[in-house]
Amino acid sequence: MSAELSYVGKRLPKPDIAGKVTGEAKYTEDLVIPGMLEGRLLRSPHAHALIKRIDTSKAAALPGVVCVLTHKDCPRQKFSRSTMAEALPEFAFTGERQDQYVLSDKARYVGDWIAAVAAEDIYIAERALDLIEVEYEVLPSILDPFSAMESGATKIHDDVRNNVAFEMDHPFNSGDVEKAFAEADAVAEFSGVNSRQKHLHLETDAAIAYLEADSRLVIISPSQGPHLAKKHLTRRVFTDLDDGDIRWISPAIGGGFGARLALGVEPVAVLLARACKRPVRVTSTREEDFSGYSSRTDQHQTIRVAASRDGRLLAIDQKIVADSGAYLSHSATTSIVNMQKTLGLLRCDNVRGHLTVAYTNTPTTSGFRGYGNPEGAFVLQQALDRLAEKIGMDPMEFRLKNLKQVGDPSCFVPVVLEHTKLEDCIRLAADRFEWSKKWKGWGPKQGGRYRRGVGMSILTHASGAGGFLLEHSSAVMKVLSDGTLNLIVSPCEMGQGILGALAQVGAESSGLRYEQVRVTTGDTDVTLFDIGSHASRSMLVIGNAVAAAGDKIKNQIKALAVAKFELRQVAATAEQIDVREGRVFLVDNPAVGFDIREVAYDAIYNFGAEGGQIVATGSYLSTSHHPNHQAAFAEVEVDTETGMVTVEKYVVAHDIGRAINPLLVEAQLEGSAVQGIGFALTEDFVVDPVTGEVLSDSLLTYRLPTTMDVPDMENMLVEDPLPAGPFGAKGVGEAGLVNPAPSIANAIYDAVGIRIHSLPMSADKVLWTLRHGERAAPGSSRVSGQTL
Amino acid sequence: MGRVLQPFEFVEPSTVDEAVGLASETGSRLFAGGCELVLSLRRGVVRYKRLVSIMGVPGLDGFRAHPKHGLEFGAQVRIRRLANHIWVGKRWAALHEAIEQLHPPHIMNMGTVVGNVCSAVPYYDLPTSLYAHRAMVRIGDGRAGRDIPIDDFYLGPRLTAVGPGEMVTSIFVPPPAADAGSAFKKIYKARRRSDDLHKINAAAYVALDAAKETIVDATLVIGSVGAMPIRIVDAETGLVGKAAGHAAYEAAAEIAAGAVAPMTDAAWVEEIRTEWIRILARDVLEQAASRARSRHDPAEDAHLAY
Repeated sequence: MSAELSYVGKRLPKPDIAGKVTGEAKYTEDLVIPGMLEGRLLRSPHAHALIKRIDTSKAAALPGVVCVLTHKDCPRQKFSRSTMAEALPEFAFTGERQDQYVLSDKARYVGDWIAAVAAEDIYIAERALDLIEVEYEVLPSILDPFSAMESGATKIHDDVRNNVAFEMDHPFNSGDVEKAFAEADAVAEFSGVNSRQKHLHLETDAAIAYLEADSRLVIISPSQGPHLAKKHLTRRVFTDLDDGDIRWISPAIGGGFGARLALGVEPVAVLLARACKRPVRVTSTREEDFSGYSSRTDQHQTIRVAASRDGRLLAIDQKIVADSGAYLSHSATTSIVNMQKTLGLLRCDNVRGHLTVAYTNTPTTSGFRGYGNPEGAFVLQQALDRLAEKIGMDPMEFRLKNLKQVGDPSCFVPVVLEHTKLEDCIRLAADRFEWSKKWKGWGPKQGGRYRRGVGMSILTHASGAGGFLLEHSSAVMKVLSDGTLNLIVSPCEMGQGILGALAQVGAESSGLRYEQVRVTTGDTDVTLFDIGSHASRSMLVIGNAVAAAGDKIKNQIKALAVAKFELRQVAATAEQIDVREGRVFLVDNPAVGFDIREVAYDAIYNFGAEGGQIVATGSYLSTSHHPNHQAAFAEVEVDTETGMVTVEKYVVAHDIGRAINPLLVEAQLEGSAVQGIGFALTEDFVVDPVTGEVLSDSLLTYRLPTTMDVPDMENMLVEDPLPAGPFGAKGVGEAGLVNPAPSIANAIYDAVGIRIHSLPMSADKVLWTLRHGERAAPGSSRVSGQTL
Repeated sequence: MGRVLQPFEFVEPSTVDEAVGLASETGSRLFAGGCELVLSLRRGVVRYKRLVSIMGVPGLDGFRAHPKHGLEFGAQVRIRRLANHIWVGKRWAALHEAIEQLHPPHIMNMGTVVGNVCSAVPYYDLPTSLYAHRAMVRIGDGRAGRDIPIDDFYLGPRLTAVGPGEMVTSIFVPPPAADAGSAFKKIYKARRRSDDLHKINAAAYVALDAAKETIVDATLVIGSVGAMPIRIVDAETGLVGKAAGHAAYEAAAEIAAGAVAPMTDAAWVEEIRTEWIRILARDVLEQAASRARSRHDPAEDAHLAY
């Protein structure tokens, strides 16, 4: 089939690459608006404190300072930094607590936003921060979710009892879990907690806001979903404004990984710009990003699983206690998604999940690539391995035996699983990895200082959130006189390459040349509505909208071409004409045809004709989350004297449907796997257990993997087109981050017979556990995310 | 929490005398590559009105690496220059390994070795390796100079023996003995308390007798465990005269593990730290001795010296 395609399936360079490589691409911090002021935020030095008094007079008197704002100057509406509430039906809002003001009336974490300054230059703004006098009454701070929920604990939010921000049962609990556990042949349990992995996009948080001459508000920021952010801002914060009052521009984005799904400093920039009546840019430093922006939510979990002797999974029971930090943001929704993916990955009749999210005096956590799935997989995949060990089964066979098949309910139960190639993924990756040779059974482990082990993990992930989010998108296409296709779409290009993939779909479906596709994105005045780039959705949802528009363009070209063929004395109906790679030709005789330019030019410069041009819109509504799947196998070496773990080999097979651009798909898989290896082994977000300060606040102490940490890695694609996907494509953006931690954890167990209960599985934890055993490991304590 | 840098005066004098004079005024300081300086400024740890670059001063870019005469480099020599030098790799392996593992690696292109040493940051790696090589630090004021062993260079965290009106002009690393080797290793950990550090490093130098069986000289250094690297002198003396073998290294490592004071009140953090010190000490000694034994025929290497 791919032989019939001109661009889809090809390894083409993405259109924005030149600007990114040469440095020509303009990011928010590169832009200069005439008359622009610089804004800076004063952040709390205390983890928990009442603000008794703020005196801004000295700061305001500093020459060059234009205004100083505090919580008294903020709208009295509470909002959430997560904008996802606007994409959920009204009844589902409970998971998106609106719990903060733009500037806080109380310090709830070290770094909480207390006051904002706008000044003629950034140096003056910075100096003004030192002149703001704040009198704090320090309150006892709560740094872990379990103490937060104890009765009598200090309240972080006055209207929240026991600091429980959110609590729910899994909406798709089913069967009789207790009975299944009682009757099962084997039961296993694993408890663990993930760390607060940082997004660490290269571009730190920034926003510009200004009023145009007609008082219309313009916001420029690296948002992953400007349409939704605009709706959220007008509905929750600046309620005097409405949809039409804001134009939101997302320029080039220096990485997102989910962080830009939450509002950053945009509301502060708007507040300052409206107060000063001048353009204001608010920026933040890397250290501020570490201490105050966002990270993955640490979710403490216990998962129990039960099976019959022959390896049938009978029951899963999951309990989550998540630590949202000072404000809720995405913490509840990522935990819900964790339950969905964890409890819905395999066939199982008896399923129970329960979730509690607690507030603590730590930085706010947020959504992160994988959105709950990596958090859950770390615990579930180890519980599954323990269960397989109990019944003496090969962990791969055990998983294969319990896979969901087409026709089963998907992990989002109301939606039926229409397509899965997970079994193919497992078998393909296992063969390449030589699992049957390398896995030596559950028996006693080898000796020696350096020990090798192998482990595996599987996953299901969404391609968009069709079925539970407002999952639709639209694209506009217009054809210029030289056959250039101007493609206007909504995704945010954060480095994932989506603009290139969409350009390929656009060129393929319209029949125009890929080299002549010009993509426009990121301006809400130009693009049509879309909920943003997340949930591995852009390729499927926006791709389908682009394909729909492309089909219409092709039909318009065919209709216009009829007259052109007549001029050449060739009689052809539109149905007998095709368009490919910028050439119009006869289906039956491809040699007869001409360049698209002839049609395109006359479509616009057509004196005496009807007017108009070749233009089309395409829309798509997704009603399923069309899961993509992946299997991964890891081989590790453990140095039993230092505890250091090295990943030697990592093999992945991904159920992609069809790779629109295999180069970009492999890049996504590789990049997310490396991010997953960092999550598994080196990235440790540490909060001081006494002061609540972030200790790992630079790239010296928070260790990102480098190219030297990347193992021998293979990413294979299982291509079987998804009928609902654009040219058969599914999503791929997030899945790669899910499997590394659990497969490495299972490989560590295979090597040395211990399991680590908290991420990252750093050398100190491994060594401690090797010396003292799992039970005594500080990592399984209540504050495991922070002490170990 | 990170700050926005305030504007400062930047001067690039052309003599050492002028440089140290400008830097001795209040609110001024010298710098070379600036890697550590910018970080400290951003964190608000230090503030300066004037930064005096030494990178334009003639005569501070000297570089010489000779297996018989030693390694000497001026204050302007960037880390990259040493990283790419074959004799540094062969004869000063501990220093080479410390450079090789710099994280992030880009630091090499901007940072200087002297600047790295002068920063006196407790967790830096190059000083630990230079302790092992018994480097001498040359301090000058533009007129006279004095040489002090690197062991006496650090007075406390971010505090050195460089007095007002002085600067480090170069560092000299003596040539190793004929049958000697050195090694450097480190392990990263997470900072668990505000007074904790995020890694441990160790370096060793071992010289053997002509038969390559007995230890005749040794240096053992543990770093990133306090304000400055620590020479484990008892272990060094204990090694001399011993047969070069596992038992000797184990014994020395045991002394090292007992010699380092705890940094936090968390027992498990300290247990792992102590164990790592023991393992690192043993491994660097073993590796250094193994390099000492595997010396090439000098004739093979001779052409590289010129």
